[in-house]
Formats: sequence, structure tokens, C-alpha cells
Amino acid sequence: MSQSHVAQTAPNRAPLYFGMMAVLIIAVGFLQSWNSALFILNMGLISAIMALGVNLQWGFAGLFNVGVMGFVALGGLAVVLISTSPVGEAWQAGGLRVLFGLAIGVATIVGGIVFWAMLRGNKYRALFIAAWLIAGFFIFRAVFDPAVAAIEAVNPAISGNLGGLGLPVLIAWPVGGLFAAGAAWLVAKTALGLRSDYLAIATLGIAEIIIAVLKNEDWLGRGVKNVIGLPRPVPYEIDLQQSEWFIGLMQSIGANPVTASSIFVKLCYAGLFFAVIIILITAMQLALNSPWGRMMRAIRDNEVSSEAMGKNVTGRHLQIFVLGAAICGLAGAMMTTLDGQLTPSSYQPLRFTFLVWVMVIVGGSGNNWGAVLGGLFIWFLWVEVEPIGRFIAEVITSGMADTSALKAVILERTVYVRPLTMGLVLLFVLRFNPRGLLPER
Amino acid sequence: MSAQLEISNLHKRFGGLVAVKSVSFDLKPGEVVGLLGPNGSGKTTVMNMISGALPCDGGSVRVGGKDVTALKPHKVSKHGVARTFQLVRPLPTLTVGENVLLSVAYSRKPKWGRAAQAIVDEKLEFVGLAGRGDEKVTNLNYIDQKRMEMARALAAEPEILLLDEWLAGLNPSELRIGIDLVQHLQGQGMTILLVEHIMEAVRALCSRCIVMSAGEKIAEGPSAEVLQDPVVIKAYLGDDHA
Repeated sequence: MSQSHVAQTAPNRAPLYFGMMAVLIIAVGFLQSWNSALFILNMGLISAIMALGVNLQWGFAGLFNVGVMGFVALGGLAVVLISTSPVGEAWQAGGLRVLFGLAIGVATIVGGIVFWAMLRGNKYRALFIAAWLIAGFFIFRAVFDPAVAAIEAVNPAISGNLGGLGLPVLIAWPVGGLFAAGAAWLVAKTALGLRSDYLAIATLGIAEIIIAVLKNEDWLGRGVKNVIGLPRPVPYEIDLQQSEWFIGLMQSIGANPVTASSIFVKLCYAGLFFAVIIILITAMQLALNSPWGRMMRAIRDNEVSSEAMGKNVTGRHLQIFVLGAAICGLAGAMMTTLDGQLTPSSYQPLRFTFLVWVMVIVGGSGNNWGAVLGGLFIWFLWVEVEPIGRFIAEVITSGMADTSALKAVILERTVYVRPLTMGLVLLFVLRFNPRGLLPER
Repeated sequence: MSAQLEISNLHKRFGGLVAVKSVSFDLKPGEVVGLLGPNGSGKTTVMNMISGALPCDGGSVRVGGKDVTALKPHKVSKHGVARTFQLVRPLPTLTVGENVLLSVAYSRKPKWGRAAQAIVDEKLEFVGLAGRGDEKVTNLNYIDQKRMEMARALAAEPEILLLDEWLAGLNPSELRIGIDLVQHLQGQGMTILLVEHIMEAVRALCSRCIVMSAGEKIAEGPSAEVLQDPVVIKAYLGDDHA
């Protein structure tokens, strides 16, 4: 009976919670600045999209993906490879050789698979495959390494990579999704047949591998030297500040053009992000309520009886794992576009895997609106609890002498407020709302 | 007419334990056959190998003349095999109707929208759950969950129905209703293999029985004869009663 009670109250709570979320963000606008409020909103929307991706995998299909960070980072790489301009010199130095080297690498692996099947029953199979792979590896490195060295020697201070295709940055968003989908397909093909905890370990490992590749393959995305100044889909503040129409518009409403230009840019981003999230959530709601979504929930509920009813469990898992990863990749491309830079060392599992999971669980797994709410709310806390914690600490310690040891200890500890709050929120939600703020049904 | 279901030399090992040892039998179209045996004799394992839920270690399963031995369960179901489970396996987050609807969409003979809903309503009515499609499946009592599972199996419009202790755990009046339901299906010409412990049901339903003990087939024949067979009585009740 308690479940039907929840089902009755759930539809009324969503507008309330989203209203409260809006009030929180507007409060930041009034109390801090509108720039901060829009920063929280924009990253919150991107977080919400990541949460939607994880919710698709976990909430719809029960797949435990703890490699969110890797898929997000691949989306970021797509922005560099699509939107930056190609480095002609680097391409001349070794572009084609790098591609040729990679082709040898792929051919070695594909050849290994083909021969493994062809030599079935041959007693020298293992020996031959080992020799093939070792030889392939050395040929691959012989072609690949000098090409990489040549590329990285080209102007290392400002490029040292192959650059991208010089296409509009918005194209990078779907491409980011495709990159992540491709990686997810490879993971799924190898690990999805395993039980869920093995999938978790596999995704965890793959995410770290992706980050390691991004950090070390300088020819691809400059590695830890970072790519900065990525093109934008929206105007630059400086151009707005110098354009007649903008200055005229801001003077007519009595705003400072410098502050207003930065707010205007953030609003443009917010508009783009809202468009993406509306398309995504519409598609996902339609999917969830379609026969396909029902089948996914059935598979999540009981794989054995779904199989007996003719549902291809492995096939559907593969499908939804790839789709969920693609959404994470899309969000990653959007985030890198918003930041305007790709910094591989900034990808931390705590921020991009754990936090997204907290968003999904706090929001309510299996509910798309819950994922969006969780994304906005947890990101809001992530940003805001630290200044609030510091403020409270300063108020508490304001009466103490500057030499007081207690004061030093309290102020020093404020940096821990953020992880502490995340843990507390998770605990309280799991205690009082075990199925999340907006439960599945 | 060839056999609807043809099982030959089926083998299954779990580690060192041989759970099923060269079991062979056939089902003719429209036959209702009981698969009997004491607990642990491998009946459910045979069921699981027919439906593809467990891979076979040897032997073959043919459905309507086609070899389905190595197929995964979802492919076997596309050959017209539907089953119920010894312990009911409802899908808790779906309603009763949705549970049944699931068998219709993305199945062997997929139907959508109203056509699918019509089948769901028909099957729910057949098992005695008419008008209860919107209830939560977890609110159903045990017999009704079993009925729902039957409706779900039937909604796929199978040619072969595997009932794994479908009548177990029912009280005498529910048992009567259950037997009537299976008899209805028999009248419609469905081929049914049922694993059962309730002799009353076996006598009422099965023209023929196959008896297993410790993984081997020990008897096969018309129900009345098989149930009198000293080997069968010994397997169930021990030497003293044979």
C-alpha cells in the first residue's frame, strides 16, 4: 500500500522541487551575482545531461557504469578534434604516418582475431598468434613513434599536435556522443556478458585508460599541455562590448555593458543547453513509455523471465549501454565547449563519476526528471556549500582572537565541507527517501 | 506427423554432479505430458535446457523439427516455446497488464497498440483475471500471480507450453480451477509439458507420463500404468512400498 501512496504524491512533487531549485539559483543571483547564478545553472544543466545518461544505463537497465569520467572526457576530445584548426606543419611532419601506424595497430588486432578463428584446432595456434601480435606491435611502434615525435616537435609551445578539422564547434557535440558510443561499444562487447560487478570494474579501468591516453598522447590533444581558446558557438564578450547594438541595448536598460556582456554570453549557453536537454528528455520520456522502455524495465526487473518471453537481454543491454555513454559524451563535449579548454588533468573520478552517481541516486534512479533535478541540485551544493561553509566559519570565529588555535582549526577545516555535505545529502536522502527525491513511480 | 518436441540424449553436469543423464523423449502435437520424479531428479533442469535457460552438455532439443539446442532463451521462445517458472517471476515495476503485454510486443508474432491490448485482455480473461490489468503485480496473491504468469506465457501464442510446477502451492479449490484451465488449453490443441508433484492433477491432465529419478528417465508410458510401476513407486517412496 505504501507504494501506491508514493505513486499518488510523486507527480505533485516535481514542480515543487523544480520551483525550489529555481528559487535557489535566483537567490544566488541576488545575493552573490548573476554571473555566479548562470554559471551554476549552465554547469547544472550539463550535469543533468550526464545524470540522464547514467540514469538511462542504471535506472532503465540496471547497468552499473562507473566509467562516466572516461566517456565525458572523450566528448571533450571531440571538441578539440572537430573545432580547432588543423596544424598544417604537423600534418606534413607526420600526420599520415601516424594514421598509417594506427592502421597497422588495428590490423594487428583484427588479424589476430581472424587467425585465431581460422587456426581452430591447430596445435601451434597460440604460438603463432603470440608471434603475430608481438611482430605487429613492433612494426606499429616503428612507424608510430617517429611520426609522433615529428608531430610533437612542431612548435611544442603552442601546438605540437595535429589540430582538428576546423569545423563549427556545435558539430563536436554529436561527434562527442559518437566517440563515447564507440568506446562504450568496445567495452560492452568485452565486458557486458560478465556480471554487473565485473562491468563496474571494467568501466572503471577503461575510464582511467582514456584519461591516461588523453594525458600522454600529445599529438592528439596536447596532453597535459592542455588545449585552450577553443572556438565558441556564442559571441565573445569583448566583441559584444565593442558592438554598437549591444552597447545601445544595455544603455537603454541601464546596465553596465561589461557585466552584461558576460551575462549575455552565459544566457546564450543556457539557451543552447536548455534546447539539448529538452530534446533529450522528450526523447527519453517517449522511449521510457514505449514498448521498448517497458521491455527495458522488464529486463531490469527479471532477466530470466524476460529471456523466456523472447527478449534479447544481451542485445538490449549493449544498445542501452552505448546510448547512455553517448549522452555522457555529448555532455562532455558541451562542458569542454563551455569551459573553452580541454584539460585532461582536471578529469577526476570523484567529480565526474562519483558526483554524477550521487546526482542520479539523490534525484531518483529510473526517473528522468529526477536525474535532471539531481544534476541541478547536487551541482548547486557542490558549488555553494564551500562559500557558505566559510561564511559560517567566519561568523562563528569572528569573536575569537586571531591567535586562537581553535579559530585556525575551524577555518582550516572549511575545505572539507564539500565532501562532507555530499556524504550527508546522500545519507539523508537514502534514509528518508530511499528511492530518491522523485522516485520512479 | 513428426514430434512437436523431440529430446534426445540430453546431458547436464554441474561440476561433478550429473544432473541429467541421457534423457530422451518426444511430445506429439496436442499432447499433455507429465514430467514426474522426486525432488532433485532433474526435471526443472530438463525444462531449463528445453527453454534455453541452461546450456546443454550433450544431446539435442528439436522443436517442430528445428534444432534449438544451442540457442539462447530468447531465440528458443521465437520458435514457439513459452514457459512458467517454479517460483513465479513477475516483473514488479510493471502492472499486471504490462507484464502480459510484454510477451506480445517484440515477440515471435509481434502486435502493437490495440491489437496487442486485445490479446492481453483475452488472455487475462482466460486465466480469470479479467479487468485487473491495471493492478500492481505485487498486490496479487499467489494464485493470481500464477495466473498472470500463465497469461503471460499464453500471450506469446506458443505451440509448446512448459509448466514448471504451475499447480504447486494451491489449495484444493484453487487446484480445481488450475486443472480446468490446463484442460481448456488441452482442448485448444496446445502441446504441454508439465512438471508436477500433485498426482490428482497428473491423473486428470496427462495421458502420458515420463518419470525421472537421479537424472535418468526410469519410466515412460500411459499415466495409469506408469504410476503403478514398482520402479516409480520405489523411486518416490523407497523399497518398502514397492
